[in-house]
Amino acid sequence: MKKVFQLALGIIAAIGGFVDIGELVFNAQAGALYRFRLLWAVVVGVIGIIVYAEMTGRVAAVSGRPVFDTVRMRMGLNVALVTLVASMLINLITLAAEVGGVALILDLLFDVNISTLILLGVMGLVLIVYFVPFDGIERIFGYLGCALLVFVAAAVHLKPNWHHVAQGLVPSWHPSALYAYFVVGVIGAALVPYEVYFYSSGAIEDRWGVKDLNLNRANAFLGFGLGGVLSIALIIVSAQVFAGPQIQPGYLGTTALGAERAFGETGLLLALLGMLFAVGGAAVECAFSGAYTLAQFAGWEWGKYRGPREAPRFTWAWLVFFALAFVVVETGVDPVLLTEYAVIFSVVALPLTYLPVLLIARDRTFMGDHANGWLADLVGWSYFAIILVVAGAAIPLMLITNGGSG
Amino acid sequence: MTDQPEVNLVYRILDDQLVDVDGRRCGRVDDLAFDGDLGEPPRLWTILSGSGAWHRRLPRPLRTLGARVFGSGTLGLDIAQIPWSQVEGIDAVITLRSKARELGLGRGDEPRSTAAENLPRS
Amino acid sequence: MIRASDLVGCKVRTTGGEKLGRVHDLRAVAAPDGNWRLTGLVVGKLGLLSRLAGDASTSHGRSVVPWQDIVELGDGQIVVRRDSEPVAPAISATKPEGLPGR
Repeated sequence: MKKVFQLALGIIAAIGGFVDIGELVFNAQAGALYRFRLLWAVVVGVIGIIVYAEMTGRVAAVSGRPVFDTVRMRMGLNVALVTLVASMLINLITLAAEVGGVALILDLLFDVNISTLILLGVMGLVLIVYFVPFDGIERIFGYLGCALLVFVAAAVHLKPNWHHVAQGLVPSWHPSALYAYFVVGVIGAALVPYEVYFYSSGAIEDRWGVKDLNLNRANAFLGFGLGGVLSIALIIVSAQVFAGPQIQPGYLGTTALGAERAFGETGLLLALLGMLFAVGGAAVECAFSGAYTLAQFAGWEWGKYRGPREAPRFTWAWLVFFALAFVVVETGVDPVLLTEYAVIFSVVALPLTYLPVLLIARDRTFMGDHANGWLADLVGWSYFAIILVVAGAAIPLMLITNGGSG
Repeated sequence: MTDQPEVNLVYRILDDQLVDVDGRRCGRVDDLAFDGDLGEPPRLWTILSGSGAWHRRLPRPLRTLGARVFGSGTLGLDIAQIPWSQVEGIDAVITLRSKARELGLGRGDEPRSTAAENLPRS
Repeated sequence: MIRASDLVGCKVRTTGGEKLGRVHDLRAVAAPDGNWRLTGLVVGKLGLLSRLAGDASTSHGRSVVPWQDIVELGDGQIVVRRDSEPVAPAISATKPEGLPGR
């Protein structure tokens, strides 16, 4: 019974931790622009993150290696160095976007100037992360992020044409660069690498072993899968509320208005609360991912379970990340714009971290009986192909569409 | 010779994580040094670990620049030499028989290092 | 003193001028006394692509040049005897037995 309870807690945390500013920006715009016609891209992205996360969790549990460990040992120093630099930059942009998002949401809740809110937001996050143990952090943000489920209720409440919704889940194509750009964005928002770095390093922080493979599977399939439902709900709500009047939800607050339309002020508050913790949690994951990546590349001691003084370079790394993100956001750059850059560049760098994980996951020397079977191999390689296509298309599409603005 | 275990060093040893006798992560296998020359098979002599070892692994045109960025490989300063006999086991990580400090590894992560002293207790 | 970084990535050719590819891995033998010896270079013509195909040694297009056959170690270039006969890379993909501590 206790085991079931633990499983449930992990899954809930994964649902709450799934959505971040990438989904809030891309999915809301996707729904407003194309109604349900991009739903299938969410499905492609969500299955992708399930496959990727399941493999990294399994590799971490069985072989004791987190993602960047596999990058360094499997791809060698040179490729790892390139991947490191790219990951650091992307992580910083993403973290800045999430921190900016936290400030924007706080701005909707409190009447204080934005610059102060950025400072308060960063300080709040840093204090929580510094003083709360790892599983506590996972849960605070994961559980409170579940307030976002109000969007699922809102999606149902707003009575969409379910026939059209079902049609949207079937892959289709529209010959337009803007549509293609949003396909890449929606897939990319689901497949963000920092979530996976965090997930696999977290598996090691939680001391997973072979006995935890079921937990890994449940977290990946149910946690990320149900997170995907939330992601779909965001599109449906946005389609119902914004597609008619041609409003472009280019601002985070607009996204929350979808919940208000359905449930009034309570809906709005729940949506904002959920967004605050989902985006705040994403900021934490992002800062940690940066520090994990750096520490694992160089071989430093790492992990929240060590305590700050036991792993000082790791601790400094995430503190510095927060500080840099703070500086970036204080320059006044638009977090929504940062989010688009973060998602698009993440997609471009994705093959570099996906491939070594796939290689280790299928390697019997390291994985023994837990190596990929034929089905996992087939799905794994298929997704590698999809990722390569999406990665190749990302930058050209961003340039052609002028960052999605047409 | 064939009944002795054969190992591919790049695949299995190079770039792996080093962990000391207390279970602390303390660097990676950044390079390997062999004792010997042409003729008889050289003996695997030491593990080299530290950013000072990195520049020699870059593509040749970038090595000079790499040495400026990461350190030129001065023993004791930016590179540590760990005798191969210090290796206790090879699994997910490479475990060593001594404490990191005694091997000149992981100096930035020691609890009494400046980096650690400047952090508040949690 | 020879370093792994001096060897990996080098182009390999025979004294007769035949190109054998690049060094992708280093083959060592673990003697029971704990001494490991570098017995050969895993050489192949495929580039990065072959690094991706599982255990580098067991993948196609690879062969092992015995250490004794090397006649010259240059900067980025290794010359082996003209009549060197690289052996097919038979190595089990499972974890090698008899590694220290295991």
